[in-house]
This record gives sequence, structure tokens and C-alpha cells, in this order.
Amino acid sequence: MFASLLSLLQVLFLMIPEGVQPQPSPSPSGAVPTHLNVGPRTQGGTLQSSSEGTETPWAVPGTSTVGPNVVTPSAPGNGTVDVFPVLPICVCDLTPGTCDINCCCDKDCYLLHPRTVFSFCLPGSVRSSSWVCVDNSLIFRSNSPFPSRVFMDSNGIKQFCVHVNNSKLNYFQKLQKVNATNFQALATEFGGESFTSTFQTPSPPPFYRAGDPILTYFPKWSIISLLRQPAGVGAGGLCAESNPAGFLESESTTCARFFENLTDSCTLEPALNAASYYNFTVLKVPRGVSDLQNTKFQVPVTLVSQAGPPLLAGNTCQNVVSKVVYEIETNGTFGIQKVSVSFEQTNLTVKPSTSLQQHFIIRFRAFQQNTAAALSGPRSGNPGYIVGKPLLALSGGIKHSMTLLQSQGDGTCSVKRHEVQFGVNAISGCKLRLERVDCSRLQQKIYQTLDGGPRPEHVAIFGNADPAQKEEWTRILSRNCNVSARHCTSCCVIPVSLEIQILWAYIGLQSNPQAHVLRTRFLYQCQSMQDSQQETEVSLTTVVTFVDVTQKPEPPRGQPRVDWKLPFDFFFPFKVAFSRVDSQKGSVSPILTLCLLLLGVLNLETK
Amino acid sequence: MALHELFSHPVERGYRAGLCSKAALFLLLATALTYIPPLLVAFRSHGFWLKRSSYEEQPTVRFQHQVLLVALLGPEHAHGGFLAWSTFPAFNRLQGDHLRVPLVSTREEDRNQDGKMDVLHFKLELPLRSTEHVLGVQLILTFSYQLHRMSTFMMQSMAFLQASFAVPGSQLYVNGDLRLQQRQPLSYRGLDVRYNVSVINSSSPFARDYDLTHIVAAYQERNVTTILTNPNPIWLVGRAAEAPFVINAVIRYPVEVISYLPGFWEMIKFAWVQYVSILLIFLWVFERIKRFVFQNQVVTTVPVTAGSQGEPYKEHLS
Repeated sequence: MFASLLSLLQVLFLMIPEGVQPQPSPSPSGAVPTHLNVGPRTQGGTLQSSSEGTETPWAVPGTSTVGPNVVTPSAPGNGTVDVFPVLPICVCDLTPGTCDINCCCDKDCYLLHPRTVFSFCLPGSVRSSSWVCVDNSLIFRSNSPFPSRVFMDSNGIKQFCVHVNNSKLNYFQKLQKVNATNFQALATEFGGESFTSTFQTPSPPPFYRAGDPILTYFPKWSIISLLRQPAGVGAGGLCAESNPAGFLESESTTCARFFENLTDSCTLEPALNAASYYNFTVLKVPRGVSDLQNTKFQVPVTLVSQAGPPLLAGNTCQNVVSKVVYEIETNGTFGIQKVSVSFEQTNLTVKPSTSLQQHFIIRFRAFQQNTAAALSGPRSGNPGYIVGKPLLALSGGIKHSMTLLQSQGDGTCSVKRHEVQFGVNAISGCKLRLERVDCSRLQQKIYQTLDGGPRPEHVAIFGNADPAQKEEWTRILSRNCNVSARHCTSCCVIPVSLEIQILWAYIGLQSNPQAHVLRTRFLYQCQSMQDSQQETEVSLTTVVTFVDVTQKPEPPRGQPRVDWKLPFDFFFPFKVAFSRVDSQKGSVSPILTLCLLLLGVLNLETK
Repeated sequence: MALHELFSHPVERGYRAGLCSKAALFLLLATALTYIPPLLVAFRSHGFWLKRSSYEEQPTVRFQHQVLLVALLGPEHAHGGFLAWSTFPAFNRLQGDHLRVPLVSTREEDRNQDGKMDVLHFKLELPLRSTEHVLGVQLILTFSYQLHRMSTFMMQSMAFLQASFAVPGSQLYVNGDLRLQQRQPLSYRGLDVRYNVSVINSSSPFARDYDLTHIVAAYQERNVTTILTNPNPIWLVGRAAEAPFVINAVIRYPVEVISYLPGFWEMIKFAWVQYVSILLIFLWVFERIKRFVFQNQVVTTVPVTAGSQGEPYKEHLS
């Protein structure tokens, strides 16, 4: 529809300047007449032009329904004309010596009029050109600068067609010269992201940098490898054996191993054997690769504690490695100075499918570091607490992190406890089996279970508190339950829950706030139970709640508070415009707008 | 020396006729045609009365620290197939042997320090026996949800998360938005506490109040709710025997587009804007028509120039 309108316009454009002399048009080929010949065309002339190639003018819907391409008048007597549509390259002639179906330029077909046999011509098998056609009777004279011609369509109606400019008919002209020197340059200039083979063998750097994998050497087999820190990978969380440890990146990973047949794997599986974690030497610097015989560049892995090999004894697999801790001492660009390893081992019962969780910890520290400072443990912030770091507590002068109860798989209280992380509210609980002891002993035991050993007395105000500095710690408010049983004499009041409430606030610059603990309270909740009862289970709960009591300073002028309902966005467009000026200097449009606005107002005033 | 026009002003001209004349009738007709059709045009082209509008606001959301968890176990577990825990003591009492207390840690974070929480980090570690395998999880978290900008809207809402898989899992990771779902628009002002009731009746000792179908059914009766949109919860498998089942959720509180019923003046304002903009065209057209009619004496009138009434022109003082 749109195309037909366009062509009509074109027709009008062609018809209007009737009185104007036809201008000589720059026609690219002499065979194409620029001046419209209304009279009957000589067959030869049409044939002449059609011998350049089969033209496929596209018929304009509405003006002519059938393309005049059917009119390739044959000249039976004219033997000089090649009856095959001549195309220098026939792209669809894929089988030599055989006629390709619908390939109108295939000479093997020996078809005078391929279209009579083929249902259509494959694109590329006929010369493409764009013709826009209208009924010939509408045209008196053409002064179009484009080449034009008259065709006869299948109904015997003459069509006046104009060859329109079409960018598709352009040629690819510029060809790049590619040689060895500009190959990479061209590839990077025109290429986007693509698949690359990442296999590279760089030369070893002179020393390790943070994050570099650490090289190891197995003298037994003369193999260079990497220090491994197996980590859980994928949906299964299975141990990815070859995960490398990064230089100076102290990390702890956990992963699971599954054994179908532990009887065999117990002694054969290297991952269970402690020896496989220290039967190599570590290269001090990567440069050591070049001289592996020189032990100057190598550090042996020293054992902190003896660890035996796995042993299958009856139905248990003993001495299975469950935890590996590497301690690595480094000295700047001199690389690794000392590597020590310690293990934790466990026993596994042989079952059809056994699983084991292994922990791998690698710790780096500077060579000959002040061990006393290192002993005091990591900070939880310097000075302000960092969210997610352990909350530091002090009991009996020893710094430790505050903990909560944790339950085992069957719901009973575990020896392992969950560290309280700063800023993270948590709840946990477990079931405790009570033995028959007297009430005060019972209470004492439960208090100890809730607190996790001796009750913490102080909590660190900042994350970098020093146990020796008393003023850096704040006393924990705590009070046991009322011991006196209320109604019955044979009752024992036992604590069942502990709520640790921590009030904290930000202090210091608003742009760099430091979190500090204001006060901590231990709140116990108790329950009375019959003293005479048999062994029972009591479920204990520990809760930790962090309350941010930061008093926010007054917001800067012009900034609304959350609960305000005042029309603070009254000057919204101006605010936005001016804030944009602030962010991108040099934009004058808002100022200009304001000036215009002012001018307008002044104009109104003076009218 | 050429002269330029430096100043000009129109000259007023009056046309006099009787009140019952053709001219008066024409004027009446013209006035009616000027003012009434714009109204009809504005109304018939729809949207004349602004019946619904919307605004953006980040809600004030706080996690209420209420959790209800049901973990569905694999069929090989003889114990009857599920473990449950909640922060409601009555619910826990009802569970008996199925109760398993997890370790729950949560943290709400205000990333841009604007006083409104932006994201909740929720982690739940459910300790399991080595024979127990989690195949599915149902989890309810409750939130208090408040809007302030137009009407003060307060509700207690929930995020319901259900995920199950054919393979026993070790961890469920969810990262989604807590989105507001409106079945009806809010009011433009006032206090709306229709849904400021707890999702789970924590004081009830009855089992049916903790039944998930009951909770969800009652919740879906509300016209304004929140849902947790997480296109694909990630189910990780491969749990070591002694490891707990972990639910890791990151729930964001995004800025919401809230639809509301506009107030009277807002409706009038938008109608007025539409009406006047169409009226201006009619005014201009009918001014031309009237001028033509009176100037060419299509209706009989007596022209009176303003100048003949005394002053040559009136000065407009502002």
C-alpha cells in the first residue's frame, strides 16, 4: 500500500513537468533509453537489453500486478543472442554437469525459458535490479534522471519502469590487504568477542604475587604441580581436587566426598591419606621451576603433628583426614619460607554409601611475625565492627567470640557452637538430655550449655579491642532467673532460653561510620519442672538480637525525612535540573530555561 | 527617512441589536457550540475523569523475625516424611518428634542509608541425620510493610517460598524481590490498616491456624499482598552426612509502583486541563466565525465603533 502510494507520487512527479525539456540524464548504460519511447519498441532493442541479463522488475501492486519480467521476447531468428541468461557467476550451479532445480542460470539445464519449467528462480540465479513500474499509458514523457524502460507484461500491457537507486546494487569495493604484520591488528579492530583457546604457557615470574597459584614439586615422580585447596564445586558441592590455593589468600573451604565402597577407598583414596598432603616440596619462588634439582628454591612441608595413614579395622576406616590446615610463612618477594601442615582425623564406618565433609584451611603470615600478636586472633574490625565478623567477648581475661547453641543432626545439643556474627540476628536451639542430678547442679549445667562454657563477662566495644585494656570492654548485663520455686517445693526452676541483646550504634563520620557496641544484656527465661521427674529432654533456645540505636543526625537542609508528608517535591523539575548541572558541569540549559521563564514573567508584568 | 511601525493596538467595535433578534440568537448558539462540544469531545475520547493513577515509592519493610519452616523428607525416612520448626511456640509444641530446631541468622541492610531497609539476608541451617534427605521446603517469612507517600498504608505480609526437587538437596538458594500485589487501588489519603493483622495467628494453640493451606488461603483473601518473586530457586545437591540443609535467601525490597484512586481535586485538575486545551481551539474558531458574521452583516446589527463612545482607546493598566 505504502509502496504503491510512493510510486504514484513518483508518477505525478514524472508527469507534472510536461513542458520542461527533457534533461539529458547520466545513464550508466547506453542501452537504456532515457527518453521514453511511446511508440512500439523494436523487438531487437528489447532483446538487446534483455541479453544483459534477465531483468526482474518488481511490479508495483495496484498499478501492475504481473511483473513484466515474463516478457523476454524471444528472437527465433536471432542466433547471436545467447539464450541462456548470462550471469558471469552462477551461484546456484552446485552440481556440475547436472541441472540444478530452480537455478535459472545453470547452463546444464539447456532451458530457453527456465521460468516455464521452474516454479521460481533461486535468488542469485537471475540478475537483480530494482524496477518500479506503472502503466505505460500514464506516462507521456520521462525526464527522470534514472534509467527507464518499457516492458511488456504477460497480459500484453506495456509497463513503464524506472530503475531506482538501490544501495544493495553496490559492490564491495575496498579490499583489505592482509599480511603477517597487520593480521592481528585487523583481527582486533574488526573482531568482537569470540572463542579463544586459553591454553597458554607463560614463563615463570621471578616471584609470587598475591593470588598467584603456588607451585609444588613431587621429587618422587619429578612432577610440577600446584598447591591444592580442594573446594566444593557445582550443584553437588563435591570436592574439586585441582582448585589451586592463591598466594597470600588465606582461605577456608569445605567440600563433600562420597564413597560407594569405602572398604576399597579407605586405603587407596589419596584424599583420605594424610601423606598425600605433605609428600611434596613447595617452590619458594616460581623461578625455581628452571632448577628443580636445586633444593635452595624448595621448602619441604613440615608436619606439626603425626598423622597416620588410613587403616581399615573391621567395620571402620580409621585415620581419615577430615581437616587440613596449612600454615605458610612468606617473606615478600623472597617467596615462601616455611610450610607446615596439621591434620584432624576421624573414623568412618563402612556403609554402602558413605560421605565425608573435609575442611581445608590455608593461612598465610609474614615470616618471623610477632607470634604473640598473631595469637591474639583476628580483629573484627578496626576500629568499628564489620558486619558479619564475630562478636568478641571476654571471659576470665581470655578473648573469644560469642557463640550460640547448635544442634546436631538428631536435634540434640552439639559441642560445636555457632559464632555470633556482628549485625546478624540469629536463633538456634537444641534438645538437652537431663541426667538425674540435684537442682542446683542441673541449673549450673544448663547455664553452662547456654553460655557455652564460662559465662562471658565483657564484650568488646570495638572490633579491635585488646584484652589487656579494660576500658575497651563493656560489662555484660546479666541476671539469672529467680531461683526460688514459686508454688511447689519439689520444683526446680531451670533456664530454657537465653536472649543476647546487643545495642550498637554508629559513631564518627557519617561517610565512614564505625559500629560500636554500647551495651549487651543476657536475658534468661526459666521454666519450673518437677524435680522428681525421670530423665527428660529439655529444649533450649538461644537468640541474638542486634539493635541499631544510632541517632541519625539531622538530614541536610532540603532533604525530606521518611515520614514527612509535606510537599517537598514542589520544585521537583528545578531541583532535578540543577542537580544535573552540578553533576555535569557546563550544561546551561536549566539556567537558560530559568532566564526565559523570568523574561516571560517580566513581559507579562509590563503588558 | 523610512517610517517603521513601532506600535499597534486593535480597535474595538461593538454591534448592537435587540435581545430577541437573529443576532442574539446566533450569539447564543455560537456560545453554546463553543463551550459544550469541547466537553463532549474530551469526555468521549475517554480518560476524562482520572479514575486510577500511580506513584512510585519504596516501602518501609521490616522482617518481623517470624519464620515457619516445613522440610519434606525423602520417602525412605521411616519417620513420616517431614521436619518442621517455627518461631511460634504453639506450633513447635504441636510438632512433637518432627520438631528440629535450625540455626537461623538474618540481617537487614540499608544500603543507601536512607532509613529504609533494602535487602534481607536470611540463612537457615537445618541439622539433619545422615539418613534424612530433604526433597522439598516450604518456608514462610513475615514482614511489616508500610507505605507513606499518599495514604499511610500498613500491613503485615508474608513471603512464601516453596521449592522441591526429585533429588535430595543440600542447599536452596533464593534471590528475589518482595513485590507488592494489588487487586484494588489504595486510597489517596488517610490511614489504611485493613491488613495490619498478623499473617499467622501466633497466639492460637490450634493446629489449623498453622496449617499452610489455611494460612495461604486467608492471605490470598486480601486485596493487597506481597509475594516473593524468584524466577528460579537454585537447588544444590550433594550433602555430606553431617552437613545441615541450608536455605540461603536474599530478599530485596524494591521501589514499587502503587496504583491509587485519585482524589477529587486531582480528578478535576486533569479534566480541566483536557477541557481547556480543546476549548481553546473552539474559542479561536468561533471567534473567527462571529467576527465574519458581524463584520459582513450576515445578521442585522448596528455597528458602533469604540472611538465614538468617547475615549479613543482604553489604556490597559496592569
